[in-house]
Amino acid sequence: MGLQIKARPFVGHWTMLLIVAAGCGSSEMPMEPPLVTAPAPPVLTGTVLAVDSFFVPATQTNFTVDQYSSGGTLPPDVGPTAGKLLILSVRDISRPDIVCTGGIGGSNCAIIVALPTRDEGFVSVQSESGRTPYFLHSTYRLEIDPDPA
Amino acid sequence: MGGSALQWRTTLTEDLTPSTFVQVELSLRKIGDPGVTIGWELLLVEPSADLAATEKLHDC
Repeated sequence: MGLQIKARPFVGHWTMLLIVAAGCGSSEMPMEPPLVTAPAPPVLTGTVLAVDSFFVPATQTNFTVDQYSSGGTLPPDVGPTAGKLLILSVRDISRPDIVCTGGIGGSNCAIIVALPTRDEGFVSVQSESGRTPYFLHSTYRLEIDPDPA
Repeated sequence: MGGSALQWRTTLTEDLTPSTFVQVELSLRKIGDPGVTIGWELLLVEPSADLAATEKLHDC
């Protein structure tokens, strides 16, 4: 598994904290109240088109978010994809025994954060009509339009 | 890979171009030790799999 990290530290204040990405543990750290988010859909498995990972260092404040840009290459024999589901699956691979199903209050989870001026992330793929970024929404949908923060 | 995966999904309207670059950008933070390694996978799934999984979930 290749590793490509391009962290661009961002320091600021925001009010919308969305999604528990993966992995919980015990912690005494003060946290924001858990937010209500859409229930996570069932986890699916399928053909893996691309895979990668990156390290997220621990911080001691609520006000630091890093943006991580990671990448991979579609296989040469990807085949027809129109009409199929494209799924971005994210998890904490350093703590595989940890289960985190939502809500961040009092947890020790890595979280995906929506910044005030932008969405919480995207996946960009190439098709015949060009390159399309699909933005992560709090509904667990990938949408062409950014999620309003 | 282990851990509890979260997934975001869409239905593709076009064929993806083989051998092209996939970019994934995420805004993340992790408060308190330890730091963590976040892994992602881009999956292609038949729509019928989603329907079956949803029906199974509702049966619980």
